[in-house]
Amino acid sequence: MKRTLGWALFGFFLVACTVMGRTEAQPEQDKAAVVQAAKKDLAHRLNVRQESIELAGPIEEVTWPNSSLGCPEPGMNYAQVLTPGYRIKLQSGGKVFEYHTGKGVVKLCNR
Amino acid sequence: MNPVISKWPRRLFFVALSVFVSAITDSVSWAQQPNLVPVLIGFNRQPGPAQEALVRGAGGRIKYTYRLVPGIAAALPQAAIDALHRNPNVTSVEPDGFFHKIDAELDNTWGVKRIGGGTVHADGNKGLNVPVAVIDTGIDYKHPDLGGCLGAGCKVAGGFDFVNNDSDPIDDEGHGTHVAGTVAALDNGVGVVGVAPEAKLYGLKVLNASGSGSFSDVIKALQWVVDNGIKITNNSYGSSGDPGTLVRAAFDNSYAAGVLHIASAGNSGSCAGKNDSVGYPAKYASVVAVAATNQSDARACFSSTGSAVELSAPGVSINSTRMGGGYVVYSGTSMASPHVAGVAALLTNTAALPSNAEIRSLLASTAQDLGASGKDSLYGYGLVNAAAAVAALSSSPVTPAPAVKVVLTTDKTSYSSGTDTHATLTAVVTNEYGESISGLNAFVTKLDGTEAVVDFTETASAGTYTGTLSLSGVDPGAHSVAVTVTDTRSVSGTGSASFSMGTSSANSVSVAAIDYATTGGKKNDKHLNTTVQARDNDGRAVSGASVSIELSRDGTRIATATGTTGNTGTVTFVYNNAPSGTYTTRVTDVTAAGLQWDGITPANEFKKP
Repeated sequence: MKRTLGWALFGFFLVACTVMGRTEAQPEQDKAAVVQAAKKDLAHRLNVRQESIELAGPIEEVTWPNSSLGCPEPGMNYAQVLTPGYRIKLQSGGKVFEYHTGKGVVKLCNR
Repeated sequence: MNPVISKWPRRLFFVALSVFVSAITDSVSWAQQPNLVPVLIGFNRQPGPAQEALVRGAGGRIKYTYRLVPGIAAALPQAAIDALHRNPNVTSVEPDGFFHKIDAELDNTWGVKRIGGGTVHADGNKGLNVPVAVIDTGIDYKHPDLGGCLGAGCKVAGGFDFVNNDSDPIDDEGHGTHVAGTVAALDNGVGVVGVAPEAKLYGLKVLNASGSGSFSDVIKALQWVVDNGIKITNNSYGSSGDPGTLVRAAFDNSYAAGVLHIASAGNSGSCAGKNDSVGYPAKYASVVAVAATNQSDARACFSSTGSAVELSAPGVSINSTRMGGGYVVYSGTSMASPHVAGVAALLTNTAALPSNAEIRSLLASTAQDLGASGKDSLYGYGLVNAAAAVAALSSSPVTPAPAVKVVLTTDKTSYSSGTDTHATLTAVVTNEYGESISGLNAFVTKLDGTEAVVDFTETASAGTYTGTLSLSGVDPGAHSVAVTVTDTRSVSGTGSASFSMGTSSANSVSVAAIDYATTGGKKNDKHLNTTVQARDNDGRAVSGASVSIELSRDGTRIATATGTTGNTGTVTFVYNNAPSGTYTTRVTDVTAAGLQWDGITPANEFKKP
């Protein structure tokens, strides 16, 4: 019984440490996830298979000045908070498409 | 079985258990005892059993009996504390714990501490019940540090969601919750503390779940503010382009009605700080533009600069309430602005009952000068100083002199000769207390210094007067118009506005945007509203344009319609009882006087669940 309690407590500490340490692996996971989301969006827009879309350059870490993610639209206003994210360039059918990401938002930003 | 493995977890268990039990003992017997006040009791000799018996006999619970100093830490009923003061063997009875809690919260919120918020709180001013509107992404009112509820009696006393058109201003992005915490997070010993921790918050949601929004919702929010008697707004959003006459008038008119608007200057600055990069609405004269500083009181490189910058406040690495619970650190002028809004709430909570203009003046005159001496384009008047501002108000109560204030606006900032025959002038007239003045008829109008005949009449809105200024014979170029109003006390005030007259170079009209929204029904999802925005090639809204559209659902055309754009250049088509599906709109024609449509329909799509 005592041994069981000891293991249970040890297990609790392991779980706690795992949860607290989870954020450290986040950037790479974030990067892969946003690239996937951008590809999915572009595939939907172009009506092509995701597999046919490729990265057209390195994924760039960016701190956007506000929630427009560097892609403001006329007549709109944006939260004035620094927003970390990525600039992703994708290629499909010989054309390059630029996506900006940040705070869970993935946005096509072709100018 | 490995004996080492079985032994250590057991030890670990008992160590942890003892810590746990100790923590429970502390929390039950010490910190959470109702009606017991934690104190440090000083004696004239080293305390022993007799002194401990004295404390216990008075209904107290002993936490520590010290050897290093002649004292006991205990929690006692207030009546027993009063009795202890009279005991000749007791040298002191001082509060314990309470101040540590305040310090901990202040230490978690360096910005509030830096501007002297703690000093004002310690003097008993926490902005009790002063209403502050947070115009933003909404507020997570379920957060414990923001009261945990919505409605009268709650920290977040009300609000409106203009994005989803309902009365629940819950946050779905997180920005507004962070801003709200800086204004007024509770002083409860947990997490962070706001600048005005006893102020009431009103969440006005104008930014969507991506942190963006339209100015049409901002105007509606300002109307809500005026209608509900709120005198302070925080605006931690902005755009680089001037959103136009109506938006400016909304800020000007509400300011004239006594509302103080605080806004983020914008995050478009550079380390050199040489450009004029202040965004809107911060750039309007009726709005206080706030720049961001760091813990060294230096301007953050991202903080926008320009002559419109009026004040600075902490805006780098600001810890505040996080949507969904807990706390998070953000940076931006979004974080600076609510520090100033909080100070305005503290000033409002004084016997002097200062007007918005008086608060604005106090904020400027008591700011800690940073950068170049006096007002400059990087820091404005300097770092906002809550302690100095409240002290200044307390030492010299404001007794405003009789005054008439006139905020004058024109319906456009630029007119075209040949197209525009007149300008509509709007004068909002208030007295020294910010109260509207009705029933006035003494108006003198001057166009470029020469008297012009304009007949002003009062509108349905008390204290707001409109008149028509003829533009006949007005030459191309910049012009100014001034209106002097005299009230029944023979006190006069003048307001002025400027506009330009030119020949329009615009020759084409395009559809700038197609937006969708749903309205009606219990969930506001019954009808589909499609809004088409027309602009000319100078970027100005085109009013009076006839717009024809085809509406399709899942690729099949289901409706056609024609409508005319209003003053904002938009026309909204309502498709009643819209079923689920993916909707698209194709513009088939735009007809506007003197302008050729470019024939392009911007990409658009709306998925209605």
